[in-house]
Amino acid sequence: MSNTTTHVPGPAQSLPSARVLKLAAFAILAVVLLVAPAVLYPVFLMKILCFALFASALNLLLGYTGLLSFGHATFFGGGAYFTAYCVKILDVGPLTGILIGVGGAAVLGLAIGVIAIRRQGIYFAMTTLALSQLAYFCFLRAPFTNAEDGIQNVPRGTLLGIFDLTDHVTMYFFVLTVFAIGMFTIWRIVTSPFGEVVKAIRENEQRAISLGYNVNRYKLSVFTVSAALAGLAGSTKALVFQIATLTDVSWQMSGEAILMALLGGLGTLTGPAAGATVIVTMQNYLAATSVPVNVVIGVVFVISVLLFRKGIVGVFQKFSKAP
Amino acid sequence: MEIFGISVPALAGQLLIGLFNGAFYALLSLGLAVIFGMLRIINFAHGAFYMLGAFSAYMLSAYLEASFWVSLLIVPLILAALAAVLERSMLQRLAGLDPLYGLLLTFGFALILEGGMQYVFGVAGQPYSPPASLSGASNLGFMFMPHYRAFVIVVSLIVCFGTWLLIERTKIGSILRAATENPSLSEVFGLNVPVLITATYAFGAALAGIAGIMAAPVFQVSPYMGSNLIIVVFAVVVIGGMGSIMGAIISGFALGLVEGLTKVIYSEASNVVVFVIMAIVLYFRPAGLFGKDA
Amino acid sequence: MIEENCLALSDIHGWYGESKALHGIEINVKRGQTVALMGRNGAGKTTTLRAITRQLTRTEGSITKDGQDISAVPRHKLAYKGIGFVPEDRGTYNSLSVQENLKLLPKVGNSGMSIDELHSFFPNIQERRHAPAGTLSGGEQQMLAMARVLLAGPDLILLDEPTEGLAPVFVQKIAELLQDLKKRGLTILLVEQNMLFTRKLADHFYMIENGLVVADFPAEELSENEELISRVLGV
Repeated sequence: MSNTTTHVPGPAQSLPSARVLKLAAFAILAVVLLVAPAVLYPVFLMKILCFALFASALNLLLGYTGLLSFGHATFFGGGAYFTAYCVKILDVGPLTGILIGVGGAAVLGLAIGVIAIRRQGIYFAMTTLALSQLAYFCFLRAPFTNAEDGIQNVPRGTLLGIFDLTDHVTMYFFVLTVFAIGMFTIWRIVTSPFGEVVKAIRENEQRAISLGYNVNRYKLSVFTVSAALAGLAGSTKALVFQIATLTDVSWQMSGEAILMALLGGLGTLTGPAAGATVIVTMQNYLAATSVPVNVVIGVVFVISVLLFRKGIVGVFQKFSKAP
Repeated sequence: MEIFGISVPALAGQLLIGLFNGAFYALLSLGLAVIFGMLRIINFAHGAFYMLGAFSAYMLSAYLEASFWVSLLIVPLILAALAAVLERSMLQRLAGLDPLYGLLLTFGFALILEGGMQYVFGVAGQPYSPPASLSGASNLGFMFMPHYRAFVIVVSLIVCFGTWLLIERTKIGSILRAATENPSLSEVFGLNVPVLITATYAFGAALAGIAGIMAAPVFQVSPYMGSNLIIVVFAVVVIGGMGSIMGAIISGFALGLVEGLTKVIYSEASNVVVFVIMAIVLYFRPAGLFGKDA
Repeated sequence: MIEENCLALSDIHGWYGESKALHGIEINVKRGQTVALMGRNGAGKTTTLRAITRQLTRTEGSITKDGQDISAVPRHKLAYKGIGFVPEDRGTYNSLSVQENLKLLPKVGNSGMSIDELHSFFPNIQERRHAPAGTLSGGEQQMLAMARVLLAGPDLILLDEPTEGLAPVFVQKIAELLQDLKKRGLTILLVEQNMLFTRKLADHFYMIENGLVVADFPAEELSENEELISRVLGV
């Protein structure tokens, strides 16, 4: 999606105040995240964090590489299933469970990626959607997922034998750590030389090819990493809510992640998290009313695409960059 | 009588069901291909249009006591009108942007339409009976042929090949193909391309409407009846390749048959066989079976 | 009062994306005249035709056809103002058959040729009417592009480099055709690099450099301006 993010070459000698402002914003955000569980319901916050990570993982692919995956729920839900199964049935610890979930999602990502990257643009989107539907049916039929019931009552366990995760606040700080690790990974990738090549592919794939880059290998790498991070989000979500179900692998879930990334701002580091916060809050609020949630989500989708393609963070950046 | 240990009536019956499903795949993938040809977008709302086709028939029957035959004429017009409004008011604004935005916008349409129908009618299926003149079945000797299913297959074939003739063999078709090949120059030549685009989107939606009303007597008329179907149709389209109208029609019927055959041989795989074929085709022939561009 | 100018461009500025290509073009084409736009590659000749046919990102200034301002007319209605266009790449629809190409354009006037006359002019087109236009040779495609526009019947034809890359036999053919069209009273705005070709046809010349008209003169003053022509064309 090359025209979603315009590359505004900022002033080379960035004003010192802008840097200070950025650090201050980061510090405020950190403080807010640390004290939030004292004010808000921790499970709600953890839900936001999980979806923020999921949307950010998708954004790594969509916003930075320009590939619209309509099948990322497979990795999110797949990670959830693998972790839930390992923790509940095989009795492994939460950390091991999450690592297995991430590994499983990465393998799924590699397998789907190999096929999907053979097409571009809309075809890529349709292919990922169809392959994730294939995965959906596999999860539906697989003996370990309990079909419609899902894997329920997944124990959160004790982290490293010390921290009792059944406590919501302890669990919150664990999830916050996972989120921070995930976001840090994404930040490292997009600011690395590897990330620069990936962005070059987004801007002009033909040129990247003619410069001698093995574009498909880059795409597949990003796809797999993005799948692994989506898996990390799903695995963590499975522990938070102690359940893994078919909803997590459905295409509606893929669509929600896209909406979060789009609403927040594609190709921005913090956008998808902002989008996830808005959508999850909205869902939580609407769940208590009789308003049909899907219709509202659809309306937000339409508004985002028609009027708001730069997203929340994109609009904010525009204002803060204006002299 | 048996072939490969499967009784002939069972095999023929499944193949008929396959052809019947293929009739819907063909109508829907044809609509997607027609829309894609002109607008260069994938219409994610296509499944929702199909659902609205079925619901329109149900409502026409429940509130206005319209017969199936009257509805078969009116429903496509309703869908065409709705699509024209959506295209004029919103889709048109995305001209010149990455086609992925079209996909996302129409995904939003689908969520609104499906969520809206669920809000009004709930998730349970609504009944809709086939016309009395098409009830019953004929004994063909080796199998029973339900009349309504035969009717659907025939109508689908007529509509599909009629569309193909319209696009490949008529003046209006040549205008559409010209506007597809070079939209801005076509405008300079005096062709009203924006109107052609609206008309094309409306026509594609009307095809989905026809599929919807024909599905109403057989499948449940429910808000999400189109949402899973459309993903299978996406796979059909990827297999066929978007470049070709005929490709969409042939792939639709062929994959319906393959699905029916799979049900006989290994029924667990029948839900996924289309997706598996898609993966295999993509691996060996990324442009699709009938596609021109990679 | 009868408007003498068929087409008049006044202070035309034009942009491709962010970059400005036209800086105030002034051109008058009188009814029945053949006017040639001359200049080097990138001077703004083709861009001027694109400004008239509204294919630039942004165009400012006034464009009148028969005294009527057409700069705000929707693009698909331009043809109905009697404007025919043969673009640089000929613009034939290569996936359509020759016959489909010929029948495609809506009829906008009656000053055009009949189909029989066209057939006598373009015998090869007639022979290959069922072939896809993409399979024609460059010369045949140019013939098709001209025939197609003439069938629509405009009174003004914009021609962009009609002889570019063509064999001499086709260049000759096009020259004959244009002479004939002139006799019928059609107005022609021609972009052409081939000076030998233009000399015999044009009634008036405009020299364009860097998106501006630097000189214009009637055909009678051609000999007095040889130096200028050489300089502007860089030959």
